[in-house]
Amino acid sequence: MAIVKSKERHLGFTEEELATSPYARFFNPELAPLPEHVKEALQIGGQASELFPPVERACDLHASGYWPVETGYTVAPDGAVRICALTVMPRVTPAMWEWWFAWHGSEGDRYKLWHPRAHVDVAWADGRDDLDHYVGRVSNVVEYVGPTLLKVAIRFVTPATVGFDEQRLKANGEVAICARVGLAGAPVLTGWLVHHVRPTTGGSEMRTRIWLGGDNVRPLGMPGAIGGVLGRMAYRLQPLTIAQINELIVHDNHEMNHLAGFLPEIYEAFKKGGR
Amino acid sequence: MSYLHLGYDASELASSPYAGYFRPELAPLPGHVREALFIGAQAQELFPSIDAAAELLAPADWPVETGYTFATDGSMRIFVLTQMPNVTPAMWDWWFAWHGSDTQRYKLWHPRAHIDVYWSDGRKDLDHYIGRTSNVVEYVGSEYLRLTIRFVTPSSLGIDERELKARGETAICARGGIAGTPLETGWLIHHVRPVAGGAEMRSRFWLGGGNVRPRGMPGGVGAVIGRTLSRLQPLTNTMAADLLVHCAQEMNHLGAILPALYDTFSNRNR
Repeated sequence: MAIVKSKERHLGFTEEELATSPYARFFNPELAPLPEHVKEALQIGGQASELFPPVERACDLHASGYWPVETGYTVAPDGAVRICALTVMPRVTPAMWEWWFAWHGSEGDRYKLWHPRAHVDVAWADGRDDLDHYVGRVSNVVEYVGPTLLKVAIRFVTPATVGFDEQRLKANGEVAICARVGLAGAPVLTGWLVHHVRPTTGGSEMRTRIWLGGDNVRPLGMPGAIGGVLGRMAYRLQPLTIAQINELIVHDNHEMNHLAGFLPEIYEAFKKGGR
Repeated sequence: MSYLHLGYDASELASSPYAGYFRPELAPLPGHVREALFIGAQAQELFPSIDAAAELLAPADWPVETGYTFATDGSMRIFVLTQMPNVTPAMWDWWFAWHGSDTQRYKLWHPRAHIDVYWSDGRKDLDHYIGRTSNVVEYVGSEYLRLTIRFVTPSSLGIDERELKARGETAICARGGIAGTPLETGWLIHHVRPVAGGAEMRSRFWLGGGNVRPRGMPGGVGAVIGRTLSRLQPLTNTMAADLLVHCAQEMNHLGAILPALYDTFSNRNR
């Protein structure tokens, strides 16, 4: 998979990186096939918006059981896109994901392990590579979603910010990775992201929720009504296409399934490391 | 009238006489439907127009029983086959008259898309649907639609009703439109015929383009107006695929509970 040999920003590991990177043994350029429930969701296409709670109801993820749709999407009447994606992860624990989100962001080579066919680069906006937390920090990633190379700013927030009861999460051994996401460098924050990870028999499951566009769009630092109006106007100028929604669902399932395949091992190998 | 919402709420689940038949989960899409979605739009010549509706009575299948096309008359044509063990054509005839009087009945059919139904004539005590207009509110894909479904006789589309009856088949035929607009935008037929162990439904939708007419203007002037107006909203692959999925889901879903519903609520044993 060593297509690029230069030091330029590139997809995957070069020959030289494969020979020298401490993470090379975890770099697997092949992706497993999409799970059957993902393929069916892509074929079903958009569904009724009433089946997809808005971000204001994110805390309903606390409830046991499942939402009406765990993998699928809708385009709500306000134009907002709501995506749900379920990833089943044998042997994985929620704590491993918590560790991963802090650990991977310091190095492009770590980030690339996650999605060998889409991830290009990552850096913390604060420039610190020695911290072991991610909440309150901004991760700037460069990745392909479908065929499009995007720079995305992921502004991690506390679970409480989107309405979670953090004590309850902890008591249940669960994790909720929560973030505001937007295109880097642009004033418009385009959506919300939650990865809720809870233990299951033999491992855990990740329930990803993405809310984009429509009312979820806010200019930076303008949470109020005026920000909402400006955000909706900006979104109408360039709404997400069905193809882009499909690409996001595919990307999410690829990366989560891929990493889950070796997360227990890489966690074991590097959990006490950091730098 | 109660508020419009998807599915049964807690009080409906507790009190509706139909609650025992409300199943919020849908079965997976059948393999032939998934393949049709992968294949996407096909050659229009494989999809006869509404003018060929009488050919549904031919014993052989059509070239495409599940799939869709965009035809040169500006229309899209969507065909869906549903296999229904233990179901008879008569059950579907009963269903089309029965469900339209009560939203909670309508919701049994597609628990994740159906919102509301009522007859334009306001009558809830009739046991026929032909000649009446059903107003439905439903999601197709993510789109929230208010539609009018004006049921017509099979013979008005050229289908020989005596032949249908002789074979124990039924053909549910209707003109569809968008509520609140002066347009009827398409035709639909659900042809149900007996097969070993049950029945099969051959659904046909002809929408947009040459199928569009102002309400009450069946002639040439109406055709010109209809074609002109139909160009205002281009039909997309997403619309065709969404309708194909919706039809496959609702027909398979109801097919599984229809024998029990018919047994319990039809008048045949009274």
